[in-house]
Amino acid sequence: MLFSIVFKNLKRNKKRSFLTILIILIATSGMTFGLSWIEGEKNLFLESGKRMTGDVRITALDYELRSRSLDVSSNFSYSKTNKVIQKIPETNIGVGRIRFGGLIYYNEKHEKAMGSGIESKDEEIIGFDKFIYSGRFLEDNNEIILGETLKRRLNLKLGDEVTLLTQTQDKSLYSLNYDIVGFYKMDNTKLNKSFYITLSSSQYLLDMEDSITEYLIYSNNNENLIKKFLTENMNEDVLVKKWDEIGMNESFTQILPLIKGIFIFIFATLSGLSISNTMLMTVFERRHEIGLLKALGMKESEIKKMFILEGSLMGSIGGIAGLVLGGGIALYLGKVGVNFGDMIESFTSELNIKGVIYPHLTIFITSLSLFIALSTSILATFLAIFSEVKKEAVENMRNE
Amino acid sequence: MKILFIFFLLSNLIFSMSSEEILTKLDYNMTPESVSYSGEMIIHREDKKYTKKFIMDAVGNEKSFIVFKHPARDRGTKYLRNGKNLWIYMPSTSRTIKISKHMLKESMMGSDISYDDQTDRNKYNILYNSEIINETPTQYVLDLIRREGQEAKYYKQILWINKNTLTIDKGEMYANSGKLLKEYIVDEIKKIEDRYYITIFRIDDKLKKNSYTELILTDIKLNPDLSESIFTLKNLERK
Repeated sequence: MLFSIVFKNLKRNKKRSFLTILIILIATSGMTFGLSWIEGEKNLFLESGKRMTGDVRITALDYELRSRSLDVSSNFSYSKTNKVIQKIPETNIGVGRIRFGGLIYYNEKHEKAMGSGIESKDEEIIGFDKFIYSGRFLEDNNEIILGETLKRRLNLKLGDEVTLLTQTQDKSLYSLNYDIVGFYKMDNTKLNKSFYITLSSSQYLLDMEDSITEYLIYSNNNENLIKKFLTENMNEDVLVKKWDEIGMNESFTQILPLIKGIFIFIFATLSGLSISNTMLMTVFERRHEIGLLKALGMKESEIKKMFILEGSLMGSIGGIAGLVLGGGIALYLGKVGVNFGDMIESFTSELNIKGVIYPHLTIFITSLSLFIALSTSILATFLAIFSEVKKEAVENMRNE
Repeated sequence: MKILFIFFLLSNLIFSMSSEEILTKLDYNMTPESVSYSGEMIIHREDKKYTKKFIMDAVGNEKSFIVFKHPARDRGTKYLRNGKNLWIYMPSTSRTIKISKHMLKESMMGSDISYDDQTDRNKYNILYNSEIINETPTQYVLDLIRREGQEAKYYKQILWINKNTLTIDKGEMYANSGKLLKEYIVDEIKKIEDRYYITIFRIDDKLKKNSYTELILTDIKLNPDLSESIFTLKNLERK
């Protein structure tokens, strides 16, 4: 009986009902898309960061200070570290790396570049299958792969021989020749002024024998257990850090929950206020009707129920439609991405992030948006109707 | 007694040297027209020790040629300095690379000695204005400030000069800001022909922690007849 009255009421003033539902729809879709966007940004920075640092990273104690000046003398034993890593009970993939700077010479030209000595496992970890656009990954110690910027500036082609000049760990100058076997184009164009050689070749070039500057461990979110194990089993000459305790990742993980909280608050408040405002106006506009229903003998509780049901129905319709619209846009853009060009790349040259954001819709965002749409619709209706039903019927009708 | 005092005063006035005279003698001892020697560079860093051996030929102010003989990894690495230009030849790549001018201040082969320290042979008296700031029974202490227009490696140096040999016992090199950059301590001097020549010394780069470099010179030949062809790119690239 009450439901049929509610439906009739909604149909009676179609324009008013449509407008109210539209406002709820816009507010919910805005909130759903906005929160998906923030989630996409978070994923972009943190996953890129994790890919560069591993879940857990081992370095020498003074590595962070010395690596800024590309000083490779801050190093530690690869074989000793490997022995400890093999005892980790959790499944993991470990790779040793050396990061260093050098000059690439070709004919009369030369370019400064950042280099890395990497293992074959890094082809998959760094994702070279996606980034190498010409040639192939490293197979031999006399091979080098270079970024697109170096290729262009030095006018290089596959098969060319370049000379790599660098400072060894004891600060002597040393150089070796390498054959180019591949060119890559990273997501972050700033990383294209770099090169990769095999780990064993970099150890020879830098006169580091068995040493490395970083050991990265990739696991399935077992970083806490692995860090604990390594802290207990490695010697005191090394520093063990989880991915979220390293450089830029640390800043991001500290600041992101705060940014996310602020955005949730802003979106929820804006959506809630716009829905509340619409629902209040809807109730106030019908004060005469409330007075009339009371004069005809309808109980206060029945009037409240009727209005709250109307509010929840509009909240549900608008909320679900808003979720479909906002969520749909988020899902679509989550697949194709939104390109910001160099804007995001210029933010950091450390991470391999592209200037494309992929919004990410989660169950939390869906539930939160629907909850805010429904709860604010019901609450606003309740607050408005509560004061109106307390008044005398004559007063309700007089205030029209 | 009075006569004795006047004698000492007079002899002091007659025999004391000006700072320019001291530097002229020092330059004579340290920078013969040409020189050739074998060098052993022992780099002490933290608890490690690296030994490198080389042969050096030099002529005039800024022409020098260095060939490394040890360790095996560095064998055949050659440096050629001609004026402000420095080239390095590395046998590992059979390639000659010109080192930028700003790199002249960088460490040579990982030691506390810069390329400039090792290859520059300009005379103190030309590069610096000098003043005696102290005198002990065995040493003159000279304060040297770079002459305007001269491209000296260091803005200021304080040298402790041995009165007997007129060679450096100890030196301190400073930046324009007054910061101590390097310390130079001489451990052995030998008389070769009519000159006193430093044969063992230590350099401590104060910008590096826990590090110093010893240099031991042997087979020293002063004023040998060195052909101009030594100081050429062709010779640098010769295998």
